[in-house]
Amino acid sequence: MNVLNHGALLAALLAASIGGALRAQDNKSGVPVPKLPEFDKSDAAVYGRQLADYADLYDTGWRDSYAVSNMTLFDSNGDSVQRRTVQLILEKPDGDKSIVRFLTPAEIKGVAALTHEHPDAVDDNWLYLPATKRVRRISGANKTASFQGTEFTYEDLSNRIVAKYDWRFLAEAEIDAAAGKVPVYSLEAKPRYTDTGYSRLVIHVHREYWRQERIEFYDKADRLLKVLDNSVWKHRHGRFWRPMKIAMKNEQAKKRTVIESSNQLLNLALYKNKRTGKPRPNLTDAQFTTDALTGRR
Amino acid sequence: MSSSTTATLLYRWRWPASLLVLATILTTVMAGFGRIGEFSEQVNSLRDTPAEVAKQEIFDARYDIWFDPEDPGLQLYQEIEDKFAAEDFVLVAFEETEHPLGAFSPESLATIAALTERIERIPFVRHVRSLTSNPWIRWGTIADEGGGSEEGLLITDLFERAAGQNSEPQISEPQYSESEIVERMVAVLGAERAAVVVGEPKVRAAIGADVPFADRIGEPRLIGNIVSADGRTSALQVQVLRPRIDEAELDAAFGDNETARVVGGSMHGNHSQWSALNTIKEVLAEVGGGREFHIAGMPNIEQNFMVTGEEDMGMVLWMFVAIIVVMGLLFRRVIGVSAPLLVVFSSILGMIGTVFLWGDLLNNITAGAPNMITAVSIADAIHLVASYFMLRPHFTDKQALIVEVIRINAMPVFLTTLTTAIGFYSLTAGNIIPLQMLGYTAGLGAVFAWVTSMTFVPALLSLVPLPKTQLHDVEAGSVADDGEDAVAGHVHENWATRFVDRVLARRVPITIASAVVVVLAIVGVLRIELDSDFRTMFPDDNVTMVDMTWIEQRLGGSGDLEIVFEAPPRAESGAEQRQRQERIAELRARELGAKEGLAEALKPAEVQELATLTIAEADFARRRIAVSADFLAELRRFTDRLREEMADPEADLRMITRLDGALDVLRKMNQVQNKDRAEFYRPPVAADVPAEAREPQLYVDDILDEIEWIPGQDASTLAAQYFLQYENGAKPAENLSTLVSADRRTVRYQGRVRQGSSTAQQAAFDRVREIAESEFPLLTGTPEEVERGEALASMMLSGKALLYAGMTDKFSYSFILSMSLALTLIVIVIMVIFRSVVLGLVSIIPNVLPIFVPIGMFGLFGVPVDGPAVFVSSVALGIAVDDTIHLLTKFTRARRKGKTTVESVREALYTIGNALTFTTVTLVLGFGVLMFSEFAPNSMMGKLAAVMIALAWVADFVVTPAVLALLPDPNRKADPSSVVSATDGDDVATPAMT
Repeated sequence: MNVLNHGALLAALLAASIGGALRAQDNKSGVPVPKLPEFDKSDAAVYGRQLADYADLYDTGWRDSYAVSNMTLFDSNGDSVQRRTVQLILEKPDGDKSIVRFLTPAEIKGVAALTHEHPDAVDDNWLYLPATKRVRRISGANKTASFQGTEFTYEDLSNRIVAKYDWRFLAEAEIDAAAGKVPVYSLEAKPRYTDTGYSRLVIHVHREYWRQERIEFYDKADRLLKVLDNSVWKHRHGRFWRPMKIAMKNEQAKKRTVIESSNQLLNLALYKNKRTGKPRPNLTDAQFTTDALTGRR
Repeated sequence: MSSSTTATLLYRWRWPASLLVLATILTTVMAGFGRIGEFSEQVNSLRDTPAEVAKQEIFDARYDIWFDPEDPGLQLYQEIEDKFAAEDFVLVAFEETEHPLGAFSPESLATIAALTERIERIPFVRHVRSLTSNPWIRWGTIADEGGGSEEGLLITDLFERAAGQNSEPQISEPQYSESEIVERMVAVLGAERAAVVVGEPKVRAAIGADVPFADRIGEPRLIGNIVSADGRTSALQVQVLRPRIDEAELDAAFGDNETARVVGGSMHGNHSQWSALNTIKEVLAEVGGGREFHIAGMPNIEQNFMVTGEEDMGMVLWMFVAIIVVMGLLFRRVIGVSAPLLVVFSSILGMIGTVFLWGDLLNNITAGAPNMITAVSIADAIHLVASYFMLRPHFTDKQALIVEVIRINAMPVFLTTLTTAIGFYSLTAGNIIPLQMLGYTAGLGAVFAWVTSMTFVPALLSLVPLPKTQLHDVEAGSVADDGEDAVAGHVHENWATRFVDRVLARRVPITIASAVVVVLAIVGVLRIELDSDFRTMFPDDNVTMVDMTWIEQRLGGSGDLEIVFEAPPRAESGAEQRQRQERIAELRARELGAKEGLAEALKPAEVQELATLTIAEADFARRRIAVSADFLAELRRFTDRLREEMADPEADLRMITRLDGALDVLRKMNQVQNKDRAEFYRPPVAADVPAEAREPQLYVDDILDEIEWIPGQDASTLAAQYFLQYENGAKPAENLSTLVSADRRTVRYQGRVRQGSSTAQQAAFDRVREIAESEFPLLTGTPEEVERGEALASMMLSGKALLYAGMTDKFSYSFILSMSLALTLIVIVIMVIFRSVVLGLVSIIPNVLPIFVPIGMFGLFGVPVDGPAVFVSSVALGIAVDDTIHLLTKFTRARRKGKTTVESVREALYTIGNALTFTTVTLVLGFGVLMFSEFAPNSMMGKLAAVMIALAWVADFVVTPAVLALLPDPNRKADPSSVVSATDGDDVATPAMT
């Protein structure tokens, strides 16, 4: 495992932010970039699926992540309120495991949600409420539910599993992103699962970095509902692209939610513990159980 | 300038003047309609998919046009839309009386499922709440992936949809057994109601033998909303958005034209809702399984308003037909019909063109303006054409004849135009926009009518050759000197004089009787009850209203009431607030951590700082009323209190049939969390928080190696966490963001209000306020009291039903204002024209009487009048006064010549009797056509105006002569110096006809 010292990481991050999003770093993640497959451009469905698969493959191998997110909710007048959460994700081949812990507002501080994703079945969910001091199993938690009154639904925040969509290649395009013109593959994705709020998504994947620059969400009436823009990209370990700013705008209600991430760690073993100076351990399954939700060691 | 010089000039320049007027009108019309075309395109450009047939947008059907922009209720309504969602609901309901399971029959459910799926996909539909889509939240056993199971919270759709959601929905085969259906029926209706529908044994079979019925209370949020209490009627509650338009989109479409932005923006909202509504109707026909559906809701009513408004504009055609017939019968000449018609057409076009050019549109009230102006301009033209035909036998020279026609008509037509315009413009004094617009629109029309009749009519008359008929033995010249004498000295008796002789013989009883009538009428007017009721505004067979009544009988009210509670924000920035919270969290974590040796203890200064910050944070937290246990407990008492009175069929609150808010969600969550026991259907209380949770806790973040402080828990945090848990399961459209603001300072309670008389609705709203203010002072503090901590929240009421009901009070105020304004101005005009205070005062009687008698009757008999209709009074006043002006002109003229009062009255009526009758008939017809309007206020307006104008004719034939005859008669003593008005006759108003 490639261990980075803290100073080098900081320097790398600094360079990434100064050098701009378009300059890739040396790959220090220990995960090689996968080889491009033989693309079949004759069939838009096949080509679309190939591109989606490759983008997914490209973003595989990061093991685990930790981040603090600041969510700012803007209403149609531009008034805003904030929510803060911590997310832990463990990358698993048979479905990621994740925990979201709420930090603010104060009355929900300590609430934690645990999800075990299943690619072929309904996800398992548990919720811990400090006011009841109990972890509750929740069945059928609605993926189309809004996450804490934000413009994000649970569906938007969960990992998009390639096999759960019908893909179609639309075009090679250039889109206007925060950092300038970006060359993308525009792909259409139609959900194959029932618990969705959308008729289709249009996903714009960077042609070089394989990251999702923009996603357009179309409602059941096939009208543009929301647009998600990823920006302030960080090239973690010179290998994995992570947006530090995710803006979701509801084009119909004219409301907006902006998630800004801080303290993001990707593959925890590549960071040193501040106090001990030793590399951190990676997250384990034991940290994604109901017992872990209550927060006591 | 003398009137004959003016008349000669006008005659000489008749063609250039006519052409100029025509050109001006044509230019205005072209520019006006050009503006409308441009505006229609701008509105169209907002659509996602352009309309197939581009329609000219000339009709303004905004709901808020009726309200004063300064109205706090309206402002609150707009704030609610900004904060939550700009939308209205539409109810689509049907009944299942055959099947034993009622609306829960498999076939009904299949229909509901298919409709829900299809309607959810209609553009601008935000959400459909129905029996099949509603979340079913309950406590139960959850099977594991691995084969085990554990207890937990189950959240599913009440009736799950068939797989393959993204394919075309079909009416699927029944998926549920009868006992599964009964189980869900119990979840919705509660065990007791379900037992009434299917019988106790089946309910027992579904829920088990030992579960008490009283514990299964069902889902109160759904009963009387998407299902009737008897389980027979089911509705889909469709939330239809009025789409938001960015500043940028508005800029792109309308530039900086403020009116166009406002009107066009909300027109787009209406179009979107109506297109959704029309698509819903198509879907009902397509997948409704042939059932009979009923639709209710505000968008439906608003669409109905526009449809009837547009139909009203078509009534002007009937008016034209009536006029052609009347004019034809009256004059029996082509010119007698064509000249007035040209005046009518150009006046209406000029009026509408100007309104459009100014960027305004027509609305339900101004839709009647073309009819009114038709009547007014016909009256103008009649004076000219009738005197032409009357004088023609006495003239050999066409020019002399027409100059004479102009001379004797110029002043009276100007004066009557002035008073008519005053009548219309007085409407602008009120604060009701459609009436203000009627005022200026029709006032403008009156001016157009004057200008066109004074130019076109002489020009057209000059085209007609004088017939070679025998002349009366009168010199043309002498006629030109004094037109009145042309026929004077011949017959001094006709039907009018014979009539007035009888009146004069009974002058004293008539005067006393009319004085009594006026007094009674005034009493009646003071007791008038204005009212408006959507149900009676449209004909009995209007589909929208029939459907609405159907739904309201089964499910309750379809109008909306908003009860909004709010606490003011703490005077600090978001950054200050976050800094404080972070600092508190840090200090608290250290304080707690120090006890376990995980952190350094707080320094005394930090202890002090923490105390200060804690006080500030408590002040911040108490304003977050949505998650304050104190507020929620008080709100529960308040809503329980209201519901108790709503159930009483005698109480004012019977008009409100439902209340719904986040509190009901919270009650349900608390119940579910406590094994579905009915006693927990209440907001959480302190005892619901386990003792071990009440102490603050430490959380150790292994990753960042930080300790975190979790505050001690109480009923408020439990409520907040239940909300979070609910939102975790609810569909986005069902989440709390439409009920509770993101900053948690605003809590919205939604009521359903029965449509009915605005008086009854207003009484219900007043009762809500009364109960709140007298019994719940903590919920109804002023913002200052809440700021000081003396109350928990302020309460405000809003909602479309409330806004519409509240208009009635404003109508009364505006009515009194515009009526007094019109009356005062008109009396002043009469005093100035006739240079007599006495005549001015006398004129009040024949003018007030015809207006006050019909209105007063309503008041005396306690019949409520449609708010907008009474406004026609000041319009009728402006028109009725025309008769009086003609009569008084003749009267003073005769008296000035030394005739006695009685002789003067006889002469006045002799000369103008016919003309007054013709114009009255025309005006009564013109306004009377409005009676056929499908829109009751317009119909009432037409009836009232027709009656008032007819009564004005009666007043001028009966009351005015009687009163005038009682005045001191200066000429009886043959003392010409005391004649009321003694100046050069040419400066005095000259009557229209001889």
